[in-house]
Amino acid sequence: MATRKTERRDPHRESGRPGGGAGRKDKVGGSGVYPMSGPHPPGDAPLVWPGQWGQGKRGAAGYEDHGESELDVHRLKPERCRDIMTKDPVFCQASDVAAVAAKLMKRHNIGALPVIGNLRGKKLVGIVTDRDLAMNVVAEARDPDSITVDRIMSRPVVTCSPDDPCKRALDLMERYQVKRIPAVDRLGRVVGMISEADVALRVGDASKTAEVVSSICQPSA
Amino acid sequence: MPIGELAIRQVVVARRDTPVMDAANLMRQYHVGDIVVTDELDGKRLPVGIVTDRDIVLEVLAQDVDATKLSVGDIMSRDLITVREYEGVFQTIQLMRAKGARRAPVVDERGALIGIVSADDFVELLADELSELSKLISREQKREAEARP
Repeated sequence: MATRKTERRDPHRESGRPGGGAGRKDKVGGSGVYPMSGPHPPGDAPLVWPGQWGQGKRGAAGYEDHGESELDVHRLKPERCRDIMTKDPVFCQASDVAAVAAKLMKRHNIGALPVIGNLRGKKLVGIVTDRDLAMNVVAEARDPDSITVDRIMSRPVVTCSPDDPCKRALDLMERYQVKRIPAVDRLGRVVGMISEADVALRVGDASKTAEVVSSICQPSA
Repeated sequence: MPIGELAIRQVVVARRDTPVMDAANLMRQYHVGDIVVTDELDGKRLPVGIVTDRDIVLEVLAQDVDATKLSVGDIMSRDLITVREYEGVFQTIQLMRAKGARRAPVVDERGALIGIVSADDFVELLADELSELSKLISREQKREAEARP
């Protein structure tokens, strides 16, 4: 039971401190705690029911509510995209040149970069993969130090929200035949990246994963 | 199942001296992510290396190298593993896993190239099997529930 140095007399609690308190001032009963037997007196003097005695604002439980147990069952089984995504993914800007994007991919050993408009907003404007760079820069004999990412990237981008259930990420990958999906917040800013591997490894539904993986693997033009 | 049954028979190939830019164009034209580099010997195409679109980006673009001056022989992966066409699927997976290879050219008994397998093909195969298996299990459960309500 919580104890305080200064205990203010709570006017709503008839009993006041343990052991009884000031009691009621009306003429219903002597102790002011229990309603006296017999017909209720006229007037609107409040009656204290036994259930309220000693508990008042604390509630029927009679002890302080400490909140739910620390064991958060939701974390045991990843359910939301935020649980499986790579947070704060490596990104590049639309104004970066292809050589910069390639170096980022090499340094961080990744195959896709979300592209943002500018560093202030971090709003997603496109996505560029290693294959995009190979096909659009090398195959076309373009100068990697002058061609910018915005001319190579794909858009619009298939995205999800970090609060979406994992299943949504799977469904999007299947529908649009992509292996990676950036997660964006309500303002369109990049907050995470989910890949096919993330979903396959961490979501428990093996048959659904199998279905999606086999459908993503369909040859496409 | 012999790996030859799973292997893709149409393989895009290039010689060692093929310029990287041409290789990238081949990948685009044939919608593939990798090319097998081969040497020609006695009328046989012997695989000597693999080049992927990612290799082109990481070895050429990221290193500020001129793609027109480089050939696939310069950037291909050297430690190539090949698989005999009668090798089993699981043995092949184990071999590729041991070497950390995502793709492996498949050869006949003379060592000549006849196809290629990749980890994605295995994932697709196993995913199909897993899907079938889970359908089988749920069908059995349903039948059980009907027979013994």
